[in-house]
Amino acid sequence: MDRFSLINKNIIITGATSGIGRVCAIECAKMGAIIIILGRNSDRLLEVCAEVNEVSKDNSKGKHLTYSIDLLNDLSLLVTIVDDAVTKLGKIDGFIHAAGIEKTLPISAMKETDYENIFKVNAISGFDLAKVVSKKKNSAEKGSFVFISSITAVIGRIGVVGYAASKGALVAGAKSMALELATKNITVNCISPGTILTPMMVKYLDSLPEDEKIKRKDGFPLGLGEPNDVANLAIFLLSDASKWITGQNMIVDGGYTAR
Amino acid sequence: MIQNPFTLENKTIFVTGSSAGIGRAIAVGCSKMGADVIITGRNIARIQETLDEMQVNLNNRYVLADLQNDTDLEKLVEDLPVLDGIVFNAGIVKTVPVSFIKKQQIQEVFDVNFNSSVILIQKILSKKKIKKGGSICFISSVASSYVNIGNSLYSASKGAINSFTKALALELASKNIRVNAILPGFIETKILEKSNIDENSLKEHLKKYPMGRFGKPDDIANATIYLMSDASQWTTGSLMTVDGGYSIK
Repeated sequence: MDRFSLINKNIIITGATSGIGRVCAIECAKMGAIIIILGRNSDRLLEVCAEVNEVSKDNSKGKHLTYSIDLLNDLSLLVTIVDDAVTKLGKIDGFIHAAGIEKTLPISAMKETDYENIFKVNAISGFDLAKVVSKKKNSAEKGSFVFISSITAVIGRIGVVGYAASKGALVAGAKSMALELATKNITVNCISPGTILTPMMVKYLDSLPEDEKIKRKDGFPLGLGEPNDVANLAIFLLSDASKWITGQNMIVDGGYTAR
Repeated sequence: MIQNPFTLENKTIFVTGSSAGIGRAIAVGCSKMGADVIITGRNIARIQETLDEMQVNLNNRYVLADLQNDTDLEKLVEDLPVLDGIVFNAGIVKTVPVSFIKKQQIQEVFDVNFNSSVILIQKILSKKKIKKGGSICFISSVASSYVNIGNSLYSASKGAINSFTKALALELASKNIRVNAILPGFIETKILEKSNIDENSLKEHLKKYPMGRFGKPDDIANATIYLMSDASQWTTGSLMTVDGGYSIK
């Protein structure tokens, strides 16, 4: 059991106040990690922190930190946040970059600023986080960076040109970063999930006409995924069990891309 | 007590090629995570060694079988209980330039690396020896896409496994049985120590591994445990590369 444990690991999670990020925070805490919870909304940060504490092991209960940050407009705050977290908890063992925004629009309706915003939150803020955390004064002896990408990085889907491209940027960036950071004993990987039933996705699917909803679901031989499916793989990638996995894009999609 | 998502308790897992190296590490690793493990190999002394390394568990056992032998295969499948997980690990390497390949060598490599696994899974499925919700894992190789001169047959046989993995994943999705493959890079095993690969060429080869070391059998065992466990219940048809960054360099 030990090999998958996250005990004594300080893990930063962006986008941790909702969806996949929130579940990652809770599941990593169950495995013993101390979570540095990043999100925009201060109330939701406290809610998630309470949920995280509730499931925490004795070693980490009460130690988790929350920081409010708007990755679109206040990215420079990352430096202060990481500094503060390292002062309070010690060096950082890894992160999950789960923050992301989506915009479903045909290419004819996409504006320059749409691309810029999507890329800023989904890709650039993740790269910046990697830059800050991989600094010698911040990074533990071995580390693991995990980016939540999407199968749209490798498949085609109508209406998500900006989103898909930003997720593809993570996959490409992770490979380069993996080579650069290997000497620091940091592994860098992406997880590319298919459609995950986050509260926001459930709401979106419910808004679709029945036949379109069925069509979306039918693409997945094992049905639609749960946030836990992503969180479990993230735990594996953050744990010492995966120290020889780097530069990969791990697909978790219930068989969608096997077709 | 919070349930560890990677636990293999109450699961029966069958591992082929488990008398040494990667297969042995997989069997021992699955056993440590709580599984009942059934192993198979041809050599009784070596397969007994694997059994001895596993957790003390009366449900762990071996079945002596040569997977190339049809009678053995029949008996093996007959003998198996209904399984939660299967790991196909048997494989051989044959280094020969294409201009020297003989028909019999193609046969030999594909028999061990591809055909025997296909025949075995066919028999297991037709005898209904795998549960709904079960997990199947093939140990392929990063060499299926990133090739070395002289290893065309090995690479091709592993490429065949990758395609087969995806096809089987689709066929078994309706039974909620998951099928994935692990693609390891160069793994240091005892067989290697005994082989006549010279130290200098190993050193040279190591430079291709960004993480600064070759793999250990446990690196592959850990990925296998993830795929055997309920933690990966939505992962199917995936090819998981575990190679210390070799394939991105």
